[in-house]
Amino acid sequence: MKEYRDIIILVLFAVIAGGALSGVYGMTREQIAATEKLERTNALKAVLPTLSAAATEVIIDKDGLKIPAVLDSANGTFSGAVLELETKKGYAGTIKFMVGVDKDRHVTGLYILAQNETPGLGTKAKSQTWWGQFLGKGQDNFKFKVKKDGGDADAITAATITSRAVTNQVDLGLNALAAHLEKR
Amino acid sequence: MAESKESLKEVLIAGLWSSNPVFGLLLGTCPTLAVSSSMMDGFGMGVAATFVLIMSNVFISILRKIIPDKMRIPCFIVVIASFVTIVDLCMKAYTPALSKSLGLFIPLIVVNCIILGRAEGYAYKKGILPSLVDGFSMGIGFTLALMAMAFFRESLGNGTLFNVPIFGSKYVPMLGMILPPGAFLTMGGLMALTVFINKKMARK
Repeated sequence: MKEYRDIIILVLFAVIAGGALSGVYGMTREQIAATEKLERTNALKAVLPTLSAAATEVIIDKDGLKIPAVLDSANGTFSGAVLELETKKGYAGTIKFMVGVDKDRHVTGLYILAQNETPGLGTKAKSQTWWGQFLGKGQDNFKFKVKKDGGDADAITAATITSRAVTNQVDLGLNALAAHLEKR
Repeated sequence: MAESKESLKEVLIAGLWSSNPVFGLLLGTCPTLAVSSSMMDGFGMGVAATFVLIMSNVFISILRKIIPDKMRIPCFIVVIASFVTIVDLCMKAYTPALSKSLGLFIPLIVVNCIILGRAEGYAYKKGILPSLVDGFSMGIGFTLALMAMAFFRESLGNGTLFNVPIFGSKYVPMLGMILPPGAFLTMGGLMALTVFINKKMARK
């Protein structure tokens, strides 16, 4: 009989805890969604300040790789885009980031959304002191590869893998965007 | 309870120094090594863990007569996991930047041995007030330990404190201090210092 009592108590614990958690989840759910949305909106603004409200969300398909993007093409002329890129070639897992480009497909900003790189090394990719070198650069005047691989991009000291992952992915994104714009 | 009266102050000091969870009891070394690379992370982790410690200690102390002896560990885990999830959700909602940089380590507070250790070793046997004080002092002790580690690691390894540069631009950061080896070195150094001070005080 004692065993039953123990089990009932444990079940009660789980039920009460579950109930409390679902309450907290309900209270914070909207706030979490709002925070995430706000971060996305801020990130879009940060990488492409000229982004207009008329911009449309599209999925660019590049050789089977789907890249979500926001295309700004008011009046039918392309005036800028934000690409949401992700790469698994970082030093520690996936790096998700946004890149903004202007009408000439020159980079206007970069924003890291999620990463697990080494603190103090790979995380420097978040800083403009590193990605600032891409500003105003496009594939016509910059080779998006780290210098070790024969490109123009400076790698972060002691974080070449991170730098390479981000730089190569920017290159891929720009290629995909160029191909997408040509197709239209 | 006669013992609880005189011990409240002792309990408070115990968590901060003599049985500091990290340097005295050697509990929770895993998060200590992992989340002490910057002051901000250390502080955030410490506050989150302190909240969970206080709440779980209080609740387990209240429920200690109901919790069956055989089932106590599962019950503790249910209580601790609930509070950790609450903290995780709240941080995601209100301090997204901190929640991002701490990442997986917040959910991992569930298996932090400090919290289960205090539940099993203290709150399950003591009254509500001593348990609350114990949770508070252990939590603050953990926070201080994290920040002491982070003080050396962030300043030497990155040249900053709370992301503010302190050494000027000429300083070349010792990258190793931010990386895992730096964590072990700092921890060993601080632990040696603790033992040294304790021995000195004992001699007097």
